[in-house]
Amino acid sequence: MSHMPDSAIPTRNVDVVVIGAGPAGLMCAAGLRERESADVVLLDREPQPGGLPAQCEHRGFGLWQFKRLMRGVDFAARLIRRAERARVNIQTNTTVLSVSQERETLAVSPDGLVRYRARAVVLATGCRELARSALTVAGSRPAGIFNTGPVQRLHTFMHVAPGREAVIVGSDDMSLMATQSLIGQGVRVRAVLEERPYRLGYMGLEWLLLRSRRIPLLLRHKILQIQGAGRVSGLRVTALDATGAPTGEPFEIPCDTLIFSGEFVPENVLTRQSGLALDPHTLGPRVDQNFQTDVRGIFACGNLIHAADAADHAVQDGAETAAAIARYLNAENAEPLLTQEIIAGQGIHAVVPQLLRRYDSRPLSAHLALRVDHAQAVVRVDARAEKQVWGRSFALVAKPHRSIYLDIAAAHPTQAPLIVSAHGRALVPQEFRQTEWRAPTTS
Amino acid sequence: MNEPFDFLVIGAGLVGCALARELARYEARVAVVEQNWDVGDGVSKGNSSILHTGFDAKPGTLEARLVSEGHRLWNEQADELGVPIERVGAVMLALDEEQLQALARYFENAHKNGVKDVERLSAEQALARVPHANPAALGGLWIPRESITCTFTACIALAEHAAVNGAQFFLGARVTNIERIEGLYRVTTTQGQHYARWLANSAGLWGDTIAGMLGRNGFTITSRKGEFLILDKTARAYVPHILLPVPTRISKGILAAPTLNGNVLLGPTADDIEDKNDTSVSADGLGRARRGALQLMPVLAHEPVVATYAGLRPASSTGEYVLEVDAQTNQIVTAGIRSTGLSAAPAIALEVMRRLGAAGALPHLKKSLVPRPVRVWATGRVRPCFDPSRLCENPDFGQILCLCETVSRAEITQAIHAPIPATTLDGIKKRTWATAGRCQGFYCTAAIMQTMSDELGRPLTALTKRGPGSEVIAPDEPHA
Repeated sequence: MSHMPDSAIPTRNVDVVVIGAGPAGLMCAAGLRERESADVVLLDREPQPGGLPAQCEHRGFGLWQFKRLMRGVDFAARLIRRAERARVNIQTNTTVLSVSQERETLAVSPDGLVRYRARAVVLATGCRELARSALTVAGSRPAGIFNTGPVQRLHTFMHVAPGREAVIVGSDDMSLMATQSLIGQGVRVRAVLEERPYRLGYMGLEWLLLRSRRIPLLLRHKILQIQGAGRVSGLRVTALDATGAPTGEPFEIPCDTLIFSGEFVPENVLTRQSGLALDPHTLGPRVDQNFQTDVRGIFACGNLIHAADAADHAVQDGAETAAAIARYLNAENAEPLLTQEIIAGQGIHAVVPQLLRRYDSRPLSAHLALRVDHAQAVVRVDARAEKQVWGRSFALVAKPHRSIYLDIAAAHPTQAPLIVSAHGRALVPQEFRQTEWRAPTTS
Repeated sequence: MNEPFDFLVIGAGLVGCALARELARYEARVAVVEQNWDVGDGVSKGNSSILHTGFDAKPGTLEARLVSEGHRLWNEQADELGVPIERVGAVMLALDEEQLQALARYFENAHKNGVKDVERLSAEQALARVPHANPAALGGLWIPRESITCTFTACIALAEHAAVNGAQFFLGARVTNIERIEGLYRVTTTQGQHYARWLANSAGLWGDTIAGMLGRNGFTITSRKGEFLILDKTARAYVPHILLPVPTRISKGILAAPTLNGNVLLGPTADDIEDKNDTSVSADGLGRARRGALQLMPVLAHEPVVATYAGLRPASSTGEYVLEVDAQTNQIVTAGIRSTGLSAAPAIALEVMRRLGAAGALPHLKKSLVPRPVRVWATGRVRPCFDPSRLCENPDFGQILCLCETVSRAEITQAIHAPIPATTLDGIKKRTWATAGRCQGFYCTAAIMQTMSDELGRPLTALTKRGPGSEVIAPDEPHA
């Protein structure tokens, strides 16, 4: 598609282009300025920076990074202030159209097209929820079907409610928070449905948000059919047995609004366009312990590489990516001495990073984010290479949709794969497990 | 009494719009009434967007002739109308001995229909054309002129060309009664009454209902549902051509086709159903559509689904197109126009003109026609945001609202102010593809609604998905 005279597009040379001004991108850009005074441009297509937290009026952010429970909008504002103080060049209303493997970024805004040539590019494009069609839910196709994201936007930026009587699909914390904000808008929440036999969110939130208001959380329930011509009029719902098959008499829940919540996938349009290697399990780009993808000088961090993790973790990623890029800028042409694969072993579905690259023989340490392949309690996690243990951790409960973490340290360079395994007590009988990890049907 | 129209077309689908466009070439007052709130919002929005050559039609039938002529007309008029066509060609794949024998019959059939450029393919040749097709294929047929277009754009283009040449469109106007008064038809709709000298029944699924109102009971229309899946753009590289199964006695079968917009479409199923409003998708139907297409190309099993939909084809009890021009009663009937209707529509309209001309019912041609206003973007073309000169012209081209499909604010405002304006979210989607991409509106729904509210001067609560009753956000009154 050669459709533009190249000369007509202004080109700017910068040290680093960061794409996506959410928690990871803001923190990465700020960190780079603070460390290196690097020439950093941070691009975001929204009119304001902040990413998904900026549209969240509910609390639940910042506990880990800032040691207090903050509203999403305040959490985002704090990160934006930090980036502004570091004098990051933030370009909003700017959509990145392509990123080449030679680190050329083509961006468009109302001011026109710009081509950035950079020494490093960071993809921090975050994640989004799966839509009804991607989940292939049967029934009619009326108005009134949403994801949580648009509902939050309509609420936070436009001050309107999506409907009057809602059913929420998904028992993630985000889904439960959505019920709270809906109720605040005068919406009646009829039920929360969850196909899995366990809740994804915290029990505490469920008590606080659902039970106190007598909103039923129906585990092992799924929609058979969406009903309604113009607008949603109701749902036909069935219970599921231990194998995930429908059981009992289907029943109907009248409602005018249906919200699919909490099934996240990475927003990887640019990743795929630019031909970076993807991890088939995370659906994000494959990265090493320095957040570098398979293409030198292109980095990826935040929820793009581990969708749906807390914004606090994305901030942490951003800070670590900034440090890694600072090292990279000082040794751009360094070749790795050794590359080592990290492999999901027993009980594990996905691992980030997917590989370790050694540039010298010094001891190496890394944080791993893991997804278990089935819900477990009292989980012992370890990482081994050539039968040597490189790291251990423990989790009281681990569920497939959120990461658990493992720090590793390795003294001896080796090419033998590092195998990560989890051993715990399954929360779900074996026969249900194939339905437990819902492999996203889109990305 | 309102001044009577010379011709009133019932139904603004592909055929109704094509008729209106042909009639608008003449010195005549033309109107179209449509029950939906957009043109092409019934049968015409749920097909496979394939322009057929008619190679597989039953030779000698009206359908075979009109599909073939329609294919030629679309190609001739594509630029004038601003309708994009991509000549991707089709490969029909035989997967067993019986199908291989059937291929020979289709080859002969194509020649009988004047489609003489079809070629027999060996298994190797078929797989060379479509390397990711089922390796078990025993042979194939290459139909080079089978093409893809965009059914939304096609219908809107016909309607807009008719509209700028004087045809009046009354949307959201369902016909409730038709009477004959003093040589005129009085057509009562949910949006008022119109009088007309000639009446064209292009009412799609409701063709038999309208015929009933006119006392013509020669046919009934059954709704035949087809369910489709749309795969993400990564799948497009696997599907260079339309992939067709060898049809069975029961149906033409489930195909896999590239779309102009860079996706891949799988389907359709074919199920006769009772309810003419039922465009719901089912687990069973989508499953069959998917499995059917995977037989042609197993590798598609791993490709993500971005959208699902169901279309309804109006199947006539006569088994064929019903096309009548009755100068005794001043009635035109175009009914039972099935999935080939997209291809045949311009030829159906011309055929009606020929018959009207023969009956002496056509007035003089207008001296000149107003061209359809040029759209900044047509389906499948490079987006204007990639063009620096466009961006100098209007900064809104650089304000991208829908990332997945790279739709700028300027394209959306143009759609809202077009000759047939987009007034609903589905209308915006059909004209610009905004919200049709992989995120299905996760990011852009709110911004697009704000733009619509600003441009249409309507409050957010008045915005709908496809007309009154489908309000997108909290309606003022609870719904029953």
